[in-house]
Amino acid sequence: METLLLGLSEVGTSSVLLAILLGALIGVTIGSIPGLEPAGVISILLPLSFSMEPLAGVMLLVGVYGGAWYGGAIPAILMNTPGTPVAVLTTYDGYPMAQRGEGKRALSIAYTSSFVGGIISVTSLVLLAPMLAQVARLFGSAEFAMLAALGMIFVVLAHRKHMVEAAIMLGFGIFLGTVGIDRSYNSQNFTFGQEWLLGGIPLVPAVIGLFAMSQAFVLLSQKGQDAHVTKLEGTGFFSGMFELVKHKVTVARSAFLGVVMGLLPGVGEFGSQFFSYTLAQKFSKNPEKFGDGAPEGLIASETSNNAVTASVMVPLLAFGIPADALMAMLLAVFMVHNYIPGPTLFMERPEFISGLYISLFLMNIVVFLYLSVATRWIVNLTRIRGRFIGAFILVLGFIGSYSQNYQFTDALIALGFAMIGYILRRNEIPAVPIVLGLVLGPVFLTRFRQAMGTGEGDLALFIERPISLTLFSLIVLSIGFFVWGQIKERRQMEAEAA
Amino acid sequence: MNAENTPDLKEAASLAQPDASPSSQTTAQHNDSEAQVSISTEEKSSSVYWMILFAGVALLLVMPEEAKWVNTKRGWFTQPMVGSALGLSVMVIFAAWRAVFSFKSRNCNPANLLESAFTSLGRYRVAIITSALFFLYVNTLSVIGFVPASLIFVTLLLWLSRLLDRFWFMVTMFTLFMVVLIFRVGLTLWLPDVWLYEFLPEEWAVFANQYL
Repeated sequence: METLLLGLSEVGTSSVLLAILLGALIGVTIGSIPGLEPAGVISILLPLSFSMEPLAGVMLLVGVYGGAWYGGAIPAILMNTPGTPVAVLTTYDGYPMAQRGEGKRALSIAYTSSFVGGIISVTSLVLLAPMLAQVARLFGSAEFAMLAALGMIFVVLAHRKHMVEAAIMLGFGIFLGTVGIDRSYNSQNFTFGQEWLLGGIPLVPAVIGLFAMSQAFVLLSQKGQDAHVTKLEGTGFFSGMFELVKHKVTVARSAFLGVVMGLLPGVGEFGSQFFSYTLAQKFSKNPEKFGDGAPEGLIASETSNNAVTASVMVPLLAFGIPADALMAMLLAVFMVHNYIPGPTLFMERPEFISGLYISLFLMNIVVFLYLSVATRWIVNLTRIRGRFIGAFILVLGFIGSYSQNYQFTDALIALGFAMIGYILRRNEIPAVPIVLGLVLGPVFLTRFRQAMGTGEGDLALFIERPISLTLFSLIVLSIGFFVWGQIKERRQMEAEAA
Repeated sequence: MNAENTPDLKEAASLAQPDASPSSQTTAQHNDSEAQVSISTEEKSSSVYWMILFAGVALLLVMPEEAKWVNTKRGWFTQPMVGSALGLSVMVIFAAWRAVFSFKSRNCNPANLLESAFTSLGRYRVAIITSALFFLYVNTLSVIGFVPASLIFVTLLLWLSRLLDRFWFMVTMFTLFMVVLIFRVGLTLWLPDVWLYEFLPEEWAVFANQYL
């Protein structure tokens, strides 16, 4: 009770409330503009969040992240174009509903499903994070090294169709994480005599370049006229809750999958949405209606992707291991304020943890209310031209990359990463593993060195400790399952061809 | 079931991969919206893997110079080069896998590779031109100031992308005003003193350096 009151006092400050409100509004706005990804905007806001109170900074970024997943449903339903990458499956049933004149009903279902998914996700965070943080107290350097390695391997395996590319990028990220001065021996690593590389590759310009500015290049390459938006018509703007009650099993299953997938690094909302939709169709009484405007499909898709938004924070809060690029950015916010994620954070800063939980609940409520009231105006945002947004993303990208250290060279580093990011986008090579390699690589290497030092250079240490052995087994099993799956798939293809 | 709307879950799965870019998402959509980016999967090129491979090998070759081996009794795992070697090795091994596979499957020769590299350059023209303009923009900030430089930069980009008309110019002016209000006035974003503003009367120069 005392912790709850402390949390409420943290949230009750004007800076936190403003951050929740701003984050939610920005998130919904960018979610509703097709082609504008939340990761890009979050990376631009990252330096701003450094100068804020820790909870306010975190909530600004999480608000954008959560709000965007809600807002992404608008263009998916009204334009047949996903506003965010995770709204792909929303188009399948949302757009046919809008074409039938049930746009308001479809949006209501999407918002309510997202809200329920979001609330379940926050509840899971409240329940799971402290439990896992207690487990983390048993961790030593060997376990943290194995956990970081597991995180990196999961990130690669999660890119199912681009695994080799993801591995290349992960290696690149690990390499980038080693650039600069090595503190153990005060020696220079790949600085090429350049003073600006002595401090290493700065995370903020790197993520701004990779996610925001490269996206600006894509937007500036666009051609075409105004987007075609299906008219928002029909009734039943508040009918979503009834639909959810009607399909409560689908809601529960999708939320569960979302929460579980959120816990796995790199899998997140993409995997959860796909599995939820597939299972919803499989267990539906009317599977033939999926893809033709089935509310159940819409519920499965929207509930699962929003059920990930808070559970994805569990590995970060409990172990300090980021599960995706946004969590890597959040880790940077924590570090700037000297808040070290893990069990000590729960003991030393209970007011922060409690405040975070309350803020996440509040964020979902703010976004839901905002969308319920303002959708008719937000729809107009879908008409903003991508080329215009692209031009201003570059200006904001400059501000974001420059403002942390007031160095023009940071803006040029961002430009370099923007080119890399653009080349990767055009070749469908994922950029997220670079960021995770950049963040998890040094964690792995530091913990590995510490563990090896303790074990006097004996690698057997990693299989002698029970938790480390469990994590090591998980790594081997994950790779084993993947190889087995690939062989099975290939045999099946060969059999089909024969 | 409506055949046209049947969800192709395999396609969706690939689209719903982490990092599914806006381009790949939108190519799945069959409308004429502006969001339909003109990048298609056909443009995928193997030259990018060769570039990564060459860069990785080059970095490995310069490693003895750039990440020196330290004489120590603390163990091999403390060597500063271990991390770099690990990262570069992962990068090179998997890039080689992709590059060799593409080489075999396409039966291409080095001349084609060169040709494909030049073709790729053409496909990146928007990014190259925009990058050059951004470079100029950053370097002119301390010469002509944030507002004039940003206005020229954005209008030039809109003109090059054939979006510039009176309406979008007005929207640009308004958005720039908001950017100045939020970042330079509200968050007091500091920028170095501007050469051009030195020609203004002192009070004006102080104001311009602070807000414009």
